[in-house]
Amino acid sequence: MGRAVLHRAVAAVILFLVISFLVFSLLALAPGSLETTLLGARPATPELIAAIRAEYHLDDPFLVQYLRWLGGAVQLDFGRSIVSGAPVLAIVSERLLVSVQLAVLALVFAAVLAIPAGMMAAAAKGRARDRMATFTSVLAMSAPPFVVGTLLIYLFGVYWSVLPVYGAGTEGFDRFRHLILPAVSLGLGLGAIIFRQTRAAALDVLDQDFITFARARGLSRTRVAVTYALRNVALPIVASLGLVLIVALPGAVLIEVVFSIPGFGSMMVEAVGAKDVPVVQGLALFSAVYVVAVTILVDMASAAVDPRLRRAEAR
Amino acid sequence: MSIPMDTSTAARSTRWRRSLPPVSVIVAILIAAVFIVVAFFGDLIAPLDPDLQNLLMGATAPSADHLLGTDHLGRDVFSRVIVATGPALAGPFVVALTTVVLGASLGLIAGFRGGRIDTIISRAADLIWSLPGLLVAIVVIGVIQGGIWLTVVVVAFLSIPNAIRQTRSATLSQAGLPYVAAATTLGLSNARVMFRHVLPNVRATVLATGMLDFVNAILIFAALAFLRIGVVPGESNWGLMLAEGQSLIWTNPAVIVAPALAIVAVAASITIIGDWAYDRASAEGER
Amino acid sequence: MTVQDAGVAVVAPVTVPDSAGVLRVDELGVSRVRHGVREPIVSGVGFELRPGETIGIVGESGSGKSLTAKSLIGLLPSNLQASGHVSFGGESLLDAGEARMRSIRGSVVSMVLQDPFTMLHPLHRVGQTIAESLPKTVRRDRARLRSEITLRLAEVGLDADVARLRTFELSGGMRQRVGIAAALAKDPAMLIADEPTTALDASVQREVLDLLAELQRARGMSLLLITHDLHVAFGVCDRIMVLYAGTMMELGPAEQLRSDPRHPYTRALIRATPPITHVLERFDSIEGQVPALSDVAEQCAFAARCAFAVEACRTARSPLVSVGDGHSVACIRQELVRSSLDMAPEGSGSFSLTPIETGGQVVARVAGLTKTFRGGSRATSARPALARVDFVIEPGESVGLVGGTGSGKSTIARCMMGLTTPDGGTIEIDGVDVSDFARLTAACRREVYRSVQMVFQDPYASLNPALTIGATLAEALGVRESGDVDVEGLLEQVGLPAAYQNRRPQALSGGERQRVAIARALAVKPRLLICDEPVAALDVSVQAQILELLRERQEALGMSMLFITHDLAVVRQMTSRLLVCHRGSIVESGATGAVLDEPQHPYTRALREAVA
Repeated sequence: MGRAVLHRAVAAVILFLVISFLVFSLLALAPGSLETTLLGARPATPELIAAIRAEYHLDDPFLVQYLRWLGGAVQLDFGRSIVSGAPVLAIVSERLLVSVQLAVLALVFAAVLAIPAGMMAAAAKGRARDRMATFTSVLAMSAPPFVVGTLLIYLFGVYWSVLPVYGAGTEGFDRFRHLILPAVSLGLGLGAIIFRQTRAAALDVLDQDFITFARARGLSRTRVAVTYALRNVALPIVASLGLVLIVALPGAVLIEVVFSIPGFGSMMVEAVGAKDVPVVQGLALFSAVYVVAVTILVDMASAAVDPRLRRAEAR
Repeated sequence: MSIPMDTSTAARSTRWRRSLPPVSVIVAILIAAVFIVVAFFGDLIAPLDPDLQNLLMGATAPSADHLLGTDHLGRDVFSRVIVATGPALAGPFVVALTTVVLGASLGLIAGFRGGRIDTIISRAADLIWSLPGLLVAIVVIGVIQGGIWLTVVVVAFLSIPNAIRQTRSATLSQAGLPYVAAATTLGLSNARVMFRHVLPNVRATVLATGMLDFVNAILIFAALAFLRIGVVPGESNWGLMLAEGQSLIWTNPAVIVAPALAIVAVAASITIIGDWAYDRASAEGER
Repeated sequence: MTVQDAGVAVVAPVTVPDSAGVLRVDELGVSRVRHGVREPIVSGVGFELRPGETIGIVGESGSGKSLTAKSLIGLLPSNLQASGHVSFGGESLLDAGEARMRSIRGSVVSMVLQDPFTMLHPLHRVGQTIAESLPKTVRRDRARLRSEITLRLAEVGLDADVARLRTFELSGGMRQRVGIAAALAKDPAMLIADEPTTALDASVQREVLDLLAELQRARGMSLLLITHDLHVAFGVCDRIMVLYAGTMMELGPAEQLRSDPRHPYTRALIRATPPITHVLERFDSIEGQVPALSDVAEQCAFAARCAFAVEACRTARSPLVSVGDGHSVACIRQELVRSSLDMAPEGSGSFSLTPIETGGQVVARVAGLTKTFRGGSRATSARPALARVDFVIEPGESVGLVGGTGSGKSTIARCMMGLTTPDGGTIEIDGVDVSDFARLTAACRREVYRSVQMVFQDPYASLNPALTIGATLAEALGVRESGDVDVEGLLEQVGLPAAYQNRRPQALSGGERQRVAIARALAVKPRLLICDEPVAALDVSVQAQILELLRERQEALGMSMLFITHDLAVVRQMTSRLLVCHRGSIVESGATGAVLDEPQHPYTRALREAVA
């Protein structure tokens, strides 16, 4: 198992380096000179330009600049916001919590709904229940989160006025109430992905000989459904959860904009709009770490679910 | 040697009956057809000038003059939704086409040739695939401030890995079959074996991936427009209309409901057609 | 419907005072409902299985034997429906609800399936698999559970410590034993075994069959054995039922069916299996192929392939009538059949195969061939697939290569075809060194592929489903560039009508597809044809057709043949010289007849004994 972990770690480091390099290159790709980008809205006095050139070491070769920036980033120093002047790390950590709460809520909503629905649909393959569920999943996949969010705002906020549709509330239950509609809007699309993967995997498993043999031996229905069907569907479901965790990130960006939630995603859009490149870079790097972490988690979960993988890797 | 019995006529007639698409697919095809016609002839179909402003008529409810009412600048919502169809589908279509051609070729090569070529292509594809696509698009397009063509390039770049992965795994499942070995051992060139023998048997996967990429691109384009990234303010665009219409939710909900429904309808109908085409093509391959 | 009348006569003569433990099947039918149309697959099956008795249901693929078995314990796929009467110990099974069936399955009637590799939970340990079938009271007591599992494993001939292994760590034979132990854990009165040995190697097949027979005797349970192999049924069963296209052809004591088969189909089936003791001058193949029941509902299902068929056979079902001693047959011509056909094997021992004199250089020379596969998840993968293999194939000679699964016989073929690159040694084809195909120029590779061609095992995957038969053959002919034969000529050579060139593989049966695959290989007029298990995936009645075709073509074209198979009887019919492959080495070689009649190497002897 040691070799496999090492392999993973090396792949993760490479992935992180590639992404960080691309992220840093953004600065150079932005239109206009580096100075004007970094100046932001400040007046372009010669002193200020010189100060910026010195602060960002713009006279160094590009690669050196990158390595210096990377060195800072590894020590959690991502520079300062051009707009507010505050350290990027402070801004990010201030707004991360609500995004995490939103994502967790959406994922729980999606998984709780979609995994049983996927199993049910597969068991009733071709019948009305299956067709309805599948059709619903197509609709949910085709409706981007901002469309669902907007419609939910209209229905629950305007038409029935039962749930808050603006902001993230304060704490505890108020926060939860505020996040219900955003989480549902986000979770619907994620649920559709989980549903389709679960259904396909379950269809595959239900066709297998070991299910027939389990039934032929008179094993109880629960045992066949749980130990046989669910256990063998678990691997593809874990993989789809990983995919969903990654898809949730940009989804959250849209949802936070729609519901004006001061989170990670809405800040990304603000920073992009304000050309606040250091903040964008910091956020992008955070996302990269997140993606790499999810990939590793999925691998570990898969190995935990399926001993064959552990064995194959141990060799 | 006798001539073996022919029982295939009966089989063929039942197969034909089975190939008739279900009602949902027929409806989806009709909806998609309407969208395609509107995409091509939107300018002719739109009853009013989509850009004509009338600030005195801002945000009115649907009426005989304005079927879906007007937006905050008094522009006709119905005409704007119609005129926006073409641009909403054209970019994603180019993305899907590029993705299918490049992704399928690379996936075919990776799966068929194996070895180092496969490793390089697959690793690169896995790397890009593991990125949160929309987020990358937001950052890159937002920072570079590009227009529609940059969006096409970025979204295509992000979609290709999935096409590679899908085509590659479909190719791998074919490459081990004896008919491929038989073609190879006739001394045919690799290119001929790949394109004449393997490609026709993975076409279901390629087609389905292309359709899915088309849908995905439509949704990403709309999302970017919703965030006002890569679009010109004021242009007729479903995503942008949704963003600009947020404040009109109390006065004329049609401003947001109409483009929202358009996005969902076109994406859902193409998904349904794609799923059906895939099921049909793969069922044919198995028989 | 006239179909219904067929099976009635069977059940009557047998009278058991008590219905305890007796399976009664009467007028059993299975049909597929599709788009509101009812399409029969099995009809009019009736028999009675008494405690302690073994009945074999024998049939080719498509005969409905597996579906018959599944319908008995309510495990038909959801798109199929059973009709008729099935009762066990007086209780009707077809009308029982799913909940009742669940309590019957396992504890009254249990079943083992064909493929041990897919039958068990892939992640479970053996102990778990057996434990979950044991009663709750046993499962709660850990010590008792452990001793019970040990006991159950011992019963199927496995050590106690096998319980700790996971499914994927077991060999096929061990998995099937575990499957049997699990199926018997609730001590059922009756066991259905659906092709329990088909997926196993010949030497293991025998062991598993013996185990089943032994368990049946020791437990006094009844056994329903489903098999495609009449000879397996002869060895194990008290009575045998022959099924064809979903209808009963014959039912009777095994001994009677062997010595005095009454139905032309049963006779043909027995004769279609080639003997291991001598070479047949002509194969007794059954022309044509198994029809769908719905196409022959109003006639004798076998009429189209039967030499004795008269008009009456084609206008009505032949009823199943008793011919005494619990033996009944569904053939209106059975008196004539019995008097006109001699069941004694034909031309015993007088005919032999000899190499064709063609001259020219050695066709293939393999020397010191080695290959080790890296990767794969098995810990045993370090063992080399090939360890120094040497042999020569002379012009016009037909050489057999036999061995079990994993013996390396297919790897040899793949190395010779350039589909696998060997680690060491040399391969020479028609004078060209082809040890590493990657190093040959494209032109040279093309040249080699005009000398050697291959026919693969699986006819269903051998042809490109996207191309018509004509396109597939034209492509192969294009490689030859000679133009002395066209697609129609090729089809004629393999006994297919010219019209087939416009069809796609999907419209062809397995046997027809294999004919096309042979035609494709012959299109380039190779000096050497490698056949890798060319009939292993085909039904017995079709196998003989393909063997006949290969033998006839080899002779007509004067080519050499390397015939790879696991089947000793087949290799006797096809080759003059024999190589025995075991664990990647040739352990014995010589004239085919001599090797088979007086095997020297222990492995060859074991193979030979497994068949006898």
